[in-house]
Amino acid sequence: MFNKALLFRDEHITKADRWDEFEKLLDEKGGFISAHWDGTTESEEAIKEKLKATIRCIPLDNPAEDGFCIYSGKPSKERVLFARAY
Amino acid sequence: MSKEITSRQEDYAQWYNDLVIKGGLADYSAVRGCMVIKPYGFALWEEMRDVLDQMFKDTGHENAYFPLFIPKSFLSKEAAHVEGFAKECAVVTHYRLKNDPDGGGIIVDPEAKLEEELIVRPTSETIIWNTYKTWIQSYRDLPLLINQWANIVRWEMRTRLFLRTTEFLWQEGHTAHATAEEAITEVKLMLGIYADFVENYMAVPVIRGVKSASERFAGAIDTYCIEAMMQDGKALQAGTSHFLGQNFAKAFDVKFSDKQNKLDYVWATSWGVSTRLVGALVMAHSDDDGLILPPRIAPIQVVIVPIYKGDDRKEMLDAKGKEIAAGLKKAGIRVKFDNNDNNRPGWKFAEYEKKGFLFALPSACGIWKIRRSKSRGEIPKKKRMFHRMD
Repeated sequence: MFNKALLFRDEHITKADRWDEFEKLLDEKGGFISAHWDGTTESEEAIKEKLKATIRCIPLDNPAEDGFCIYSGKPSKERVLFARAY
Repeated sequence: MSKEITSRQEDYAQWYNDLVIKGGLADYSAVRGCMVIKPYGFALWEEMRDVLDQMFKDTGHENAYFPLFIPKSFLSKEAAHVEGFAKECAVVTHYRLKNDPDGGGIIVDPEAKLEEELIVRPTSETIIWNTYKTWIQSYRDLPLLINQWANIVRWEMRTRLFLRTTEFLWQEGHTAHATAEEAITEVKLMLGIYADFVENYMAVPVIRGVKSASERFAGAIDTYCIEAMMQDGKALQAGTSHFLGQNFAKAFDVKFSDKQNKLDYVWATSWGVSTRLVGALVMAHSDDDGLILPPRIAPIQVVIVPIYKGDDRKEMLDAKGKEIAAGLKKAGIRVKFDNNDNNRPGWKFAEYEKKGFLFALPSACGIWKIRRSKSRGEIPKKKRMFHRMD
């Protein structure tokens, strides 16, 4: 039972690097979207308003990875997990 | 496919509601946003509660109980806290009803207005830290490791059975420590307990993480959480554990004298899981035929249903059924023996399939089989022992 659920969960963690990709994934696939975030509430609120997706968490033991925020394009130090949620 | 239960494909939200209502877990009530937890649903919560309670006790925590009501002014003492919870608070303003002299029935007695309004607890940090001030004077009083099982009211706008109800049941741990380090260790320990429970008892995988600043608990320095994924691809927060720093100690002036006799504010944590977990459980595993519950916390794991083909067999099958029930019970399996002849076996199978039971059918030859409906999951090892009985 756990393994079945784990498989489903793992299949539903997807990386996104562009806004259109991000939106498409949320609408079509769902699940957790791993994307870069600049760490600001402004970007977070904007994403929440436009796509109804929230930052679910920054995973513990998250690997450091340089990138650019999926919303603002500003520098980001790590990916965080977005999703539509209950 | 059960005709009673909407398929997930057709309408996922309705599927969930059908499962909860037709599986007998809960019902809507006359009070907006509040649910009635039915016996089967409550038994499920009790299973979960008992496992968690033991885990808390095993890590040195003790249960206590604090008031349901919180003076309005207490909530305001921690600025971020009141800002976060104000919009969801139910408020008690009077303490007496009386007969309307104008014949309008029962009314609130204007003479019995409370001097200070009371909030129905949306969470108990404020009432608890107000009390902790009197309990904590020195490092010898720490750590203070308290938990309470209680009900909570948050006046939600959009409610869903178990997942988000105006009133819900939960546990909330509130601990006090001499150092930040110790408090953070406790925060992570409790998150680990939640993750262990949700993964190993509920069979739901979770991701452990920290919340972003805006998603933090109102009044926390850091909120750790476990996030789960439901079958519709939406995330569900399954539990949270907060490092509160010295915020509440400062708000309620809770200090302790350390080993060098220096005074400092106490470091705090709080952590909680609720009846939302019942919803998570239903959503994570169930299918279009009914509930699927992991054996470790299913209130009833096996139901024994004798099928009589004639009255002469009834006595023998009943005896056989009871014998099997006793044997299973002895092996630690939660079993229900249903020989109630008010309902036909066909009805029973349909009903129990919705509830997620595994079936055991005693047969005439003394050999009985466990039958599961087409879509059920694995049978735990213990039960395989009973597969053949001569």
